[in-house]
Amino acid sequence: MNLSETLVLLIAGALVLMVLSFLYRQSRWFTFAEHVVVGGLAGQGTAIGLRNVYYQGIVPLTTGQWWYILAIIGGLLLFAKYARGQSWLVRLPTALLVGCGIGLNMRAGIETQITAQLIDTLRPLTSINNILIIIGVCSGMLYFFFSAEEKGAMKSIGKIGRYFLMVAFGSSFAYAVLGRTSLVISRVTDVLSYPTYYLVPIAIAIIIYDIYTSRKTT
Amino acid sequence: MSLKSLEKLDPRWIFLAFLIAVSIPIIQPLGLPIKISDNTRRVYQAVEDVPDGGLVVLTPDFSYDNRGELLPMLETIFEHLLTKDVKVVSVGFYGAASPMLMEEAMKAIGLERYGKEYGVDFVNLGFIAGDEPAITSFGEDTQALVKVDYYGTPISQLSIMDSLNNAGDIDLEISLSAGMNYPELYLRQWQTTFGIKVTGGCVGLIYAPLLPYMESGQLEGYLPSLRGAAEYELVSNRPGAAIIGMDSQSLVHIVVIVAIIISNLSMLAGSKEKEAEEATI
Repeated sequence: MNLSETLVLLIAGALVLMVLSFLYRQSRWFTFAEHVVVGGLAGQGTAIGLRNVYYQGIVPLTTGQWWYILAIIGGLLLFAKYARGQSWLVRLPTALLVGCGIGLNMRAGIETQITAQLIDTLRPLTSINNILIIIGVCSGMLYFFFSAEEKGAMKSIGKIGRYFLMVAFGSSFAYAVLGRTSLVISRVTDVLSYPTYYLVPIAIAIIIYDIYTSRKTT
Repeated sequence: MSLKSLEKLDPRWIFLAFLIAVSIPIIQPLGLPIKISDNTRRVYQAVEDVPDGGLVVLTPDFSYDNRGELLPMLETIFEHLLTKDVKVVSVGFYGAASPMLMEEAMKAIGLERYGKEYGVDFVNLGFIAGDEPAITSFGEDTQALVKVDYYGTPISQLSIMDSLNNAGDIDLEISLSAGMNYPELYLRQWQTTFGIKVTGGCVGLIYAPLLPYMESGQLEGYLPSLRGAAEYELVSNRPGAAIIGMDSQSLVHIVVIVAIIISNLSMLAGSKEKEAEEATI
């Protein structure tokens, strides 16, 4: 590992520890790291955006594909909302974007997300899994049926649907915990690796100093 | 200390318990067993089924904030692909960081270790903005949309791109996604329209809503977060960072379960005490 790699790892580790310091309390270290991340991401996004405009807009123009100018004008019109009196122009590219988006979505969306799912739901009642899927789908949909008063059988079936939904939300929450924990594991693994672990005692010392000074002040 | 008093517990003690549970297995691995699920086997089989000389599109649709969850998955799947006689085209539609993450994986594994050459067996096309319209354009006429790779090399100089004209040329799409709708975009625009196979993995947060697509067979299995990466490392016999992380994962889950049980018991104790107080009044 050369000097520049070591330096990069130390800076990354220091930023991770600054962010983790938020778990103790909001501090100037956390604020500093937060500003670095926001600034860095904004800079990176701008650079990549400009690169895309150059390669996907300017380069084709220079090769004689003049119609790319329409896309560039459309993109520039998105900034029209900042021009006083001319802000209505932003509606033109917005309408195009929304129209294209809906059109593309509809093209295969119905088949992918509705027809294929419906076909898969219509299963033979030969296993407990299949029966559960059908009961879950029907009762869950009935829970969101608002055109009839919720009483009698409607209420009971809706209640079953609600339990199915709660199970689904529980499953989603468990996967969310899995994902978030993975992020912490990755950061802690980095912090506990060479050469970043040298920063851990420094971070602990800063926190202890912080506790000491804050108690002294109060 | 009564159960009710736990309601006033400083949450920083829970953070500390969480941190200890994460750290112990990293310092001293426990080697807890990991069961390989059917979904992971399906993803592995989908990669294995790509014919010799076939073309795989790998889309790392995530950014640095999800690096911990998806980079181990990207590395292990990419390494598996490099062991096979297939061409790999990487392109990102989600975040500007995706080409950098792909580059990180490429450097960590090393194309030369598997006798592969950049531009012939693998190419990093970078990030293409535009979400669904961009994915559609890429699928309909790749050569018209993509002019250069991530490093600015014209695609006419990259022989791998000769075999990719539209999504019909793709044998397998592997989507590693941090955004809920991304696997759906590939299903809509590539799988339904061109009939190509779609598989991959995603962050834990969006895994459950994708289960119906796996049940229906539209997705050829899908890997959930670090757990999925660890299973894939096991099934492809390439132990790596994800397997090491799973010990921490198991300990943290115990901490979370204990915290949920204790907080509920504490709440119940509190409500019973309140009822008793009201009855006395």
